[in-house]
Amino acid sequence: MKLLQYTSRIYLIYLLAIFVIVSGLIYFVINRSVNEELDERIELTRDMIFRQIKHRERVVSMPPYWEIERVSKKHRHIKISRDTIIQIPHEEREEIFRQKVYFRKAKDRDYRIVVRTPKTGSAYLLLIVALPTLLIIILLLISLAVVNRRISKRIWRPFYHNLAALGVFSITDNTEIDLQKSEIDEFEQLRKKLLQITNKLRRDYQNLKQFTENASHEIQTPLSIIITRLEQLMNTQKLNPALAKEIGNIFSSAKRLSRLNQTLLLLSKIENRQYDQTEEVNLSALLHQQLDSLQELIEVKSLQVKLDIEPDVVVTANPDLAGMLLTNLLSNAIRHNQAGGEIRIKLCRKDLHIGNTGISSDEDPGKWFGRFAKGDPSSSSPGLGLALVKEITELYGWNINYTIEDQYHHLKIEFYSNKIQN
Amino acid sequence: MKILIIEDELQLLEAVAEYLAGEGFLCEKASNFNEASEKIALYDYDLLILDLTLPGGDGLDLLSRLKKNKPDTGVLILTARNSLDDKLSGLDKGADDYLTKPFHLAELNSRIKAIIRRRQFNGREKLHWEEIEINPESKEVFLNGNRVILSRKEYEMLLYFITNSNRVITKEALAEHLWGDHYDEADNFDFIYAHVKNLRRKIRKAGGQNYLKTVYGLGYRLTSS
Repeated sequence: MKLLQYTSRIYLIYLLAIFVIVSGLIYFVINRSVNEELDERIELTRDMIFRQIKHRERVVSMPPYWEIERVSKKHRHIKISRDTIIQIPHEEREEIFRQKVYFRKAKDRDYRIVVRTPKTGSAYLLLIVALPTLLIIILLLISLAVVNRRISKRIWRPFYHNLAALGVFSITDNTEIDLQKSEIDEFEQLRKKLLQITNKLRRDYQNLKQFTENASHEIQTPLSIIITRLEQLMNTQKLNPALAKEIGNIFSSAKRLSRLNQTLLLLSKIENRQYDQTEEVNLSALLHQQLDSLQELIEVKSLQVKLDIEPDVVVTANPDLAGMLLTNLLSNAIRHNQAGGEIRIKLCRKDLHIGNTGISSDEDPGKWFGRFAKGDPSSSSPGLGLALVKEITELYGWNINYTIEDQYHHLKIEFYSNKIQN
Repeated sequence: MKILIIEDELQLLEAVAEYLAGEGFLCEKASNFNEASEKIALYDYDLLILDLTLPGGDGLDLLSRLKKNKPDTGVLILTARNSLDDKLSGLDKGADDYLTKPFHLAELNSRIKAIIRRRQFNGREKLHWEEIEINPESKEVFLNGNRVILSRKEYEMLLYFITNSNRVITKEALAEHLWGDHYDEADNFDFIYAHVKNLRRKIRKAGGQNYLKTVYGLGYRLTSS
């Protein structure tokens, strides 16, 4: 529900309640003063009757305006005052009368005197008062709705503008978020706070980006020195074999560290959405190209490769990332295969399926998508390959699924949410 | 061959200079933007090894300036930035090749020689090492005039060994050179071993000696003695 709708509804409910109460009050007050007026008239009539009874004049009842009768003593002092409906004699209509009943003793005789006066004029009076009240309330409601709308247009415009600006805000933006100023203190406070928060977010993000780049640079430089110095050392004349082996070990570790650092940097870059340049990538061609360069690795393990690749399957992605995705998937299928095993690759516009023989495992293969997760704990691989694959598929909203059936591993990527053209 | 090495990390600068001097290059060094800019203006070099992040300025500016005044100089960009943008803008501005840190000295050497071959001989110059002759244009290998049939990777391997002859080539450097990103430290190096074995066999069969020596614990070395 919109704010305007909500407040209007509440206004309406309150106004209706107020209307009911006020009308009731007005009715009560008017009715009371009308009754007082009528009572005065009745009393005038009563006084006249009393005078006539006193002077033994013959008093005639004149219904419905007054009636006089003699009553027994026990009814004395009963005084009733109420409105009553009376059928007018010789006429076919009923009329509301205000009536008062008096008891009077004159010359040892008890009289019951009923005095009535018609309320016809007073009903009209009520109408005259109630109608303008209703009219005022209706006018009030309409003007309230109009004012509300104007207020919402004027006062809330910056608010709605800022809300829309927040909706499209991205921390990767280079420019400050476009927020409208407002005359209202609260909105102005909100705007300043939002500006502060979004600026801090953007700054932090930029710093983080800068940090990952700097960290990578700073780490790679000493690593470069270690690696190149070790290579120099390897070429020293008459290197003794034991020392050579030690140098080899240090060298391998330095290389591992360097690759680890590069992969982590890559992962954070993907996470930070720094690979936003996309183009149409021909996955079929890329797959063939990568398989070609992996030919020797496949041959060394005597693997059987069965291909079912639909030509010209195109996805929209960053070409580097698409390449990395395939590299990791293919390397995995080769590395974790048995000698003489099999790789099955099926690519169509809907999905990519890579199956390979491997070891059976009770572990949940979904776990291997985590960082530093290893199927084989003794492996020297840092276990980032599948994490990288997962990160790339998530970036493009592709669905990835890893299952093991007996000793056959299946990795399936569905490109369903990505538009695929042929 | 005169090479200017522009690198702000002095230890790395020294290591690269030493290695390349060992390969017979005449090396000069610059460790910041101004020094490099001065040397480029004053002297002529065959090749520039250029680090992009320099104190005092952006390496890419140096590249633009060089390409405007001395377009014949070859340029190899050295960068720790692993970003696609830098590589692309570097190559766009006329760099011949790029190498990301950390790199293998053997890889750097082989890239430099490839640039020089391309620039000075349009890749037509034949390479000779002992009785082996390589025609880079047709990718053919001859031993005492007889054609040796090599697979593509075997050919690349031999070329790499010859450009880095008498140097220890680690299995890692070899794997990276041949397979790039496909190589992973988790792989054992059986496939390298298998390829080296095949290459040795083919050379010996064609009448060559066992030039490819195993260096225990490290890798291989192509040496005539």
